[in-house]
Amino acid sequence: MKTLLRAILPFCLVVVAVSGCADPNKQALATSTESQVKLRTMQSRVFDTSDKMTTLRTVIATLQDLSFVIDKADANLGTVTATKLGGNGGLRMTVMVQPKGQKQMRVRANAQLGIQAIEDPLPYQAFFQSLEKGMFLTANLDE
Amino acid sequence: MRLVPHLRVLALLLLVAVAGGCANHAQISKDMLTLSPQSMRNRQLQTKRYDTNDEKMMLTASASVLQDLGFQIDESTPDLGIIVGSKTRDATDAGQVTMAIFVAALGGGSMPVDKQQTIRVSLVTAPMARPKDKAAGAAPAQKLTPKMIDAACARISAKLQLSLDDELRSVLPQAELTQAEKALTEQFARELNGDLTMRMKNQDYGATRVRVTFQRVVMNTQGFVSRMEALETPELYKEFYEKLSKSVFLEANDI
Repeated sequence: MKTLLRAILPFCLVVVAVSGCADPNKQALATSTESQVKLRTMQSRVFDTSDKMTTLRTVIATLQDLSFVIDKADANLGTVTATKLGGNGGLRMTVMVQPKGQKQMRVRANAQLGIQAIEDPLPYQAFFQSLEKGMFLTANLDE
Repeated sequence: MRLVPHLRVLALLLLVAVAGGCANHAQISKDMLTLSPQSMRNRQLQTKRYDTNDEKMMLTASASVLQDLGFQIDESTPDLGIIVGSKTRDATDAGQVTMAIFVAALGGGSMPVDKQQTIRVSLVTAPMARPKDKAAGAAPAQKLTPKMIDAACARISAKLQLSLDDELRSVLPQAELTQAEKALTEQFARELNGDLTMRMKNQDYGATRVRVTFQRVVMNTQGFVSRMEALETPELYKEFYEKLSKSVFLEANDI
């Protein structure tokens, strides 16, 4: 009997884990599997510029370079939402630009692929690398 | 109790599947967020430069073209130069329908075919700053306009007439005085007007770039999404920009 229990236990754990996904309350509020601070850290980068509008425009241009189609943008709040089709139902991303002190801008991005939030640091690293290229071009070239 | 080892293997497989799915998910999203080698080519394809610093005019002209093409405007944020539109159209493909009839005739049951598609467009304008503008700071230099030239000529003519009047009143009879004043002021105004107009025509009005992207989502007869794709045919973009250039011309001439 004990062996049976021991065998069934991991199976039950999987069932619990999977069914946990379907709980609507948990879906709406519980942020994620990652801690809030950790999530914010990997989704944010700080850039040395005081120009919010130019930063927003660079974010938009970078998203377009990555083949995203812009869904909406708000200059006051500093948000841009865009979708890229392909790969399991599309990648949807919201980027927010906020001033950090007098001389810096904090750019925060969060994305979901299909029906799953992206909580791995690597995709965000890739995005910010692309954005850094764009910021460099804006600052140094006739763009 | 033969079931026990099987259950254990099954649970292990499920765990592997869940974990494997996650890794794959991260990899796909990482690839999607990395600039591809074609991104530069696409940027060139989708972007066009217009010699005007009037971004609002470019947006209006663009919105008009989208309307010409039957798009509904869903969103617009002029401060960031964004217009988003969409249209829903028929996506029935004759080949697909023939195939479905063929399959049904062979007893294969009803096969879903593409029914309708939603085409989405997002258009972004951006001012292209020149290095000298950036060096000068945020305040843009004031540009010469025909109105300014007219005002300058009118003012200088009035002033000139007054001073000529003062100078020559004592030495010339009234009729000759009027004649001389008229000739001198007219000539001066014409020269000034010509010089300033030449300057105006040579001044640099800056540039605005427009980038447009199209994508489509196709639904089949069963109501499921059968295809989602970015539209990347060069002809599509070429045609769009031909229409936009016309629209800019119409807008500039108020037609």
